[in-house]
Parts: sequence; C-alpha cells; structure tokens
Amino acid sequence: MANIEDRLKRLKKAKDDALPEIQFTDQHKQNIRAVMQKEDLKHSILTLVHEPKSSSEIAQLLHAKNEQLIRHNEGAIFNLLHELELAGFVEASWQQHEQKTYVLTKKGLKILADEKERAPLFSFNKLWQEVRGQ
Amino acid sequence: MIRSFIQQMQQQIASKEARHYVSEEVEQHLLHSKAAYMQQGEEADVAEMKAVRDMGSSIQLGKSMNRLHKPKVDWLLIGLVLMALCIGFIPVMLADDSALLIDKLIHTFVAVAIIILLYFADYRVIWKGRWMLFVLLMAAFLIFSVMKDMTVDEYGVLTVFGTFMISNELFMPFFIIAWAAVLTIKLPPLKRVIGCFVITTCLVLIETSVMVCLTYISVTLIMIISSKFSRDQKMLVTGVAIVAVCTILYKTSFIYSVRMSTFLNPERYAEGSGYLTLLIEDIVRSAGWFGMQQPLTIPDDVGDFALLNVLQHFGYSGVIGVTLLLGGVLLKLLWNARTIKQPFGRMLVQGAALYYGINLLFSVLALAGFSAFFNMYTPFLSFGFESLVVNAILIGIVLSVYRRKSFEERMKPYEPKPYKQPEPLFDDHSRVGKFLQWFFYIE
Repeated sequence: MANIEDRLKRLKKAKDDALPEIQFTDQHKQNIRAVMQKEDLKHSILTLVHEPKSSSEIAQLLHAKNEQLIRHNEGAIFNLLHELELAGFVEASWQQHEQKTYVLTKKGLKILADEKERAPLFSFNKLWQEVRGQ
Repeated sequence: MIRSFIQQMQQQIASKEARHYVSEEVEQHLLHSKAAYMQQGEEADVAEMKAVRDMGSSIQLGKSMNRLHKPKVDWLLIGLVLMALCIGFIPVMLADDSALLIDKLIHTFVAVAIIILLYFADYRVIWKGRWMLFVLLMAAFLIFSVMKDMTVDEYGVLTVFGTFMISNELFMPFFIIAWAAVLTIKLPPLKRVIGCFVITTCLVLIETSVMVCLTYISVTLIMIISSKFSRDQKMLVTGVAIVAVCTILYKTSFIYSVRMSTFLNPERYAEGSGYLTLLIEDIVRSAGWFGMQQPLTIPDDVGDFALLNVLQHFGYSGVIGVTLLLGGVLLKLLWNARTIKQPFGRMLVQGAALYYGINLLFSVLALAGFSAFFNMYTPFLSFGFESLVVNAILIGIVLSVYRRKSFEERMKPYEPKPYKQPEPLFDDHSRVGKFLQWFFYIE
C-alpha cells in the first residue's frame, strides 16, 4: 500500500483532472488525511483478526505497531470494530464470561485477499462526501 | 473511575439496548487493561486511572456509538404496510356500509396498536422460555378450543364485543414464534421437535380450516428444513409432514373429490359449487383493464372475495396494483430474512414472510382459476378482525427484529472454525500478477 502522502498527491491529481473548478484547500487536505488514517487503521485492524481477538488484544497489538491514532484514544478501536461489524467484515461473539471477540468473516477475508475489492472500504465517493461534510 | 467513564459514555447513547450492548464490552476492556497495568506493578487506583486515560474521551466514544447504534427503523416496510392498511378500506368503501366502515376503522386501529406495541417489545426475551412458550401455547389452544365449543356460533367463530371475531387461527403467529425459538437452538432435539410437530399438527388439523392447516404445515416444514438439522433428520420430518398432509386429504377427500370435478368441469355443477368458479371466470374474462361497466353481485365481497371485487370494479390494473403492493411487502420481508444476521431473528422474519406469502399466493392463485381449491382471503385487503391481527402480529415482530438487528445475540457461544489461508488469485511473481499490480498501483 502506498503511503498517505503519495495517495494524497494521486487523489489531488485525479481531482484536478476531473473537477478543476473546485478549490482544494488545506482544510480539505487535513480532512482527507484524517479519513485516510482512519481507513488505514481499519485495514490494519482487519489484518489482525484472522484469528478471533478481543478488543484488548487488538489494542495491545496496535500499540506494539506504534499506531498514533489510538494513543490515549483506544475508544476509536471500538468505533471502528463496530463499524466493521455492521458492514459485515468482522463477526463478533461472546465467549462464556469472557471478553467479546472479533473475527474476520468471509466478506472481510475476501476484501483483504483481493486488494481490488478494497473499494467499499475506501471509496472515493464516500471519502469526498466525508471531506465535504466536515 | 471505570464506573464514571461508563456512565459518561452511556449519557451520550439514546437507545437503552445500545447502552447495555456497548457498556458491557467497554467495561470488560477497561478491566482487562487495568489488570494488565496491575501486573506491571501499579497500584489498583493508578492502574485504573491509566486504563481510563488510555481509552480517551468517554463523551466522544459515546457520541460515535450513538451514531452507529441508532435503533433501525424499517421505513420502507412501514410505508408499504401503511399503504396496505389503506387499501384494506377499498372493499368496505365499495360496499357502502357505514357500520362495516366503523368496524374496519376499529380493526385497523387495533392492528396499528399491535404493531407499535410489538415494535417496542424485545423479542429476544422469548428465546429463554421457548419450551415453556410451546407448552403454554398448546394448552391455550386446547382451552380455547373447548371454550369455543361452548360459546361459538355455528361457524366455529367466537365473537367478542360484537366486532372482534376470533378463531383458532389467531394462534398461528404465536406458533411461528415458538418454532423459530425452538429451531435456532444450536442442536435442536429431534424427538421433541417431531413430537411438537405431530401434536400441534393434530391440534391444528382438528380445530382449524384445511387452508390454515396446510399453511401451518408448509410454514413449519420450511422452517425446519432451513434449521440446523442434518439431511436425514430433515427427510424424516418431511416424511411426517407428508403423512399429515395425506391425512388431511383423506379426511377431506369428499370435499376435494367434489372440488376436483368442479375444477375440471364447472358447467356441470353450475347450480351448486361450480357457480362460484363460473362467476369468477366470467368476471376475470370481462373485467378488462379498468373494470366492468355493471359490476355483478358477488357473495362476501368485502371478505374472502375482496380481490375479485377489486377486479370487477377496477379491472386488471387495480388487481395488479394491489398485488404489486402486497407483493412488495412480501419481497421486503424476504429481503429482511436474508439480511438479518441473528439466527433467532432471521428465523422469525422467515416464518412471518412464509405465512404472509403463502396466504397472498393462495389468494392470487384463486383468481387465476384455482378457486375450487383455495380460499380467496387476501392479507390486509380482506375485511376481518382475525386476519388483520394475525398479519399485524407478524409485521410487528419483523419490525422489532429489524430495530435490534445490529445487536449480536449473546446466547451464541463462539465456535472455533479452522482458518484457511485464502488462495491468491494470481501469483505475485507471475506476469498477470505483475501486470495487475502495475495496473492498480499496488505496491
């Protein structure tokens, strides 16, 4: 996966070609960066849950990867996990008297295996909406 | 610390169910990280403080969870059902009878009240007392049947307060609920299920009409087939169902032999049972696209023959419109049954869709020339307290399931599945793989 800066440049170029009249402000850039970071975090959470894992385990692994977005903000993990669950990419289940664990579904596996299918995770349209909306 | 964090978060979440759903998980997480800090040698207080600090803002978490877990409202289904309730007034309007209209208004009001009540009720409570529900239902069914024999009119119908006519059909949606609960146990007990199937089928066979009985058997059978039984077990249950259907056909063989000969040659029976078949054929032939000039008099034009009445007044366009609307409700129910993940919820929606769908199918088939075999009762369109209430209960349950569809059911313990590495579509080093990587900018 290309890093965020490269992707931003590519996105800007795509936008300039398609919609030249729209201003690409710093605010837009920041918003896009936030959205992209969130999407990247989503992606790295997906790669972690091949085996069922609880939110604590996920948090530990992300801390080990030095993920900046969840420093003093582990709540974000729940947010993303629940989003992924609602989208059907992961499946949650409660073990008896234990923590809730999450595991990839077939749909999630497919999306990880086939990079092309990352479109629903990272669609230009949705991203543009979020950028404009914020 | 943890308590206050959870409380602050809960204040941001509007729905009660979402609050419980999220809190339990977050609390477990916090307790785990507190334990982890204590293992590193921190004091209990400090560990708790650090655990909470790591979580970030409770208010932000609560707000985002609130956004994610809003109760889901199935506006499309609600809209379709409201329209279906409205078209229920058409046959009554055509009959031009104010007493009937008032009754219909009361019935519709009760139906809407039932839908709203069930929408807010938590269907998941039923799952815990499923066998109890089954036993109570059978007992209630028997008691009702005995009481009915003492107080009913000659048609086997009990009339309450003059306008609420009920018979044993009212039990059908409750049986569907009980079956859905029983069939979503991880390993449903075969003997008990067959026992319940045989007993309830006998009860239904003795106490309700042939149509209701056939509907009950087919709905239950399809629900059993889509449950977790093995193939042999499903075959066994299917065998039992076939025996039951044969029993019904044998019991009613006299009626059906008459109906069969009516169906084959209605003219010969034009004075008796063939009269209706001929009447329906006549109306279907002469209705045209926009209805007949001079509508005929048909028996029970608000109830069983409501769809026929619509046909002769509004023609094919009217019937197609009504069928599209009622079929739309059915399609939405089937769609919900596909998309809902919780096993119990999905089975409930599936049962409701089947019961509604079979009734709708029968009523349309009756118009298509099979009126000798099927009753014409059309869901929502036909006048009748009982049928409306039955459909209202089914729709109410479906909405209740939809409302809570994002909450995982807690009863499902985790079953470990062997993990299989996905086969890559193309080897990364093959030419096609390299081309794809280049084409899609994948590094």
